[in-house]
Amino acid sequence: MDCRELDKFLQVYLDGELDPEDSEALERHLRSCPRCQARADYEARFVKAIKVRVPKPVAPDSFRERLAAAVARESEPRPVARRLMWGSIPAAAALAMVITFTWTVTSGFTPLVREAVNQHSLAPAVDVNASDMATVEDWFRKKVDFNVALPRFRSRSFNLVGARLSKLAERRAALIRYQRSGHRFSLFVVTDSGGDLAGQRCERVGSKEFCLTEQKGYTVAQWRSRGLVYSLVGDATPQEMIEVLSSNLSFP
Amino acid sequence: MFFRKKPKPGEKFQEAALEHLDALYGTALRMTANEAEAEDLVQDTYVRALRFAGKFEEGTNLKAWMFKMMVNLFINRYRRDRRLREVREGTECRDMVERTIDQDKLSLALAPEEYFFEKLFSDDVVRALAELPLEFKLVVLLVDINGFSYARGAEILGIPMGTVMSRLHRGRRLLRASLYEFALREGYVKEESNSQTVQPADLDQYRQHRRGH
Repeated sequence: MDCRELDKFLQVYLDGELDPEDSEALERHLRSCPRCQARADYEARFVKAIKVRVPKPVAPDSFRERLAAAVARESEPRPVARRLMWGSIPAAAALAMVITFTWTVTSGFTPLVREAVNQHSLAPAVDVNASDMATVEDWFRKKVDFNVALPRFRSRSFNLVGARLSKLAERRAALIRYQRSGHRFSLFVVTDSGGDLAGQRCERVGSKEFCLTEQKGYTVAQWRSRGLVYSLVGDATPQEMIEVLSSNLSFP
Repeated sequence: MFFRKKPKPGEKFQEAALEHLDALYGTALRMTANEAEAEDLVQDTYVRALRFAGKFEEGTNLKAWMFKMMVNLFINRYRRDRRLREVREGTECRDMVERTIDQDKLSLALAPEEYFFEKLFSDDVVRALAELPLEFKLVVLLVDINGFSYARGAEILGIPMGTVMSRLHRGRRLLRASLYEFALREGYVKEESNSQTVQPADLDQYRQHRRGH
């Protein structure tokens, strides 16, 4: 390879896209030609300088959340009427679909559960790191227009990690992050707008009723207390969720 | 008792697609140079990707597939906007390109010792990149900034690999030229370093210089 040929192949070589045989020939020339070597260094340093100087911004949390909501809307089930028009579906199957459908959307809290799951899976960073309840409750005091009273967990393995502000179904929400044997749990607190809680099934633990939803491999437990609705999202089976909740000393 | 549902294929796809959010957003920001527009573009990309998730062939490169979708959305939008703008203002970008090409010759006459680009700041490079004509900017963004191979770049842009190579080469040179112009203006480098009398740096430089005239 001579200087002119090298000129043609240099960029391709520097990009690591030249096949091994040609690369070898090119390197042989570089070793014997200080000028071309200098040129190769120059080109390589230029591309490197560009690469390191163009920052790689990450998507802001606020956008991440909006995107999660948009994506959730997009993957929502089609309206029932549309499904029933599918002539090929046997009547029983169609009926089953309607039942599942009404079952999961009659609650006004369903969109909230869906967004809670999305936010939980995107794991936005917490705004305050704290392992004690008082700090977290205090942190929320001037940030939301309700009193964020946290449940008291008896279990030692269920640890408070931190908190941040969030938005669920156009409502301001307090998001509290917990950790249990390496798994994240997110507790969302919003003001109670009334109506049925969202859940595929509700269970009683002590005097409280918990409504459980399985979605995207996560379980959501929802309960209400003193004008607030709590939604705990975690990578756990419904049984494990109930265990976590029954380790509760007192619910706010 | 509860039975544990397997995640639906769509959900797995959604999760996998979200892994590329930062790369897509970062690139959208460079393409649009505007945060709100970048967010819109990325959101539209995801909505579209979900709608067409069925068309994605498993085992092929999801990141490239998402990029292709975003680039197409952007190009269509850009073309539409530019047509509108040209109708309204009668602007021509050709001037800018011509001017840059002149500068390109200038920078080629530089002695290789002059690593002026290492004196630049991020903002300078980001600005110069933003000013590159779109076809060059896209290739530089995909290959240099996102690390896609020539072949992936060709797939994303729907152009032959040879075109990717030549646009990349040209794009880098245009970028260098505009950065050099900027460095001169800001006094990072001195004009003299461009004269023929520099260094023993030589024949190569002389040849390039001669070729330039």
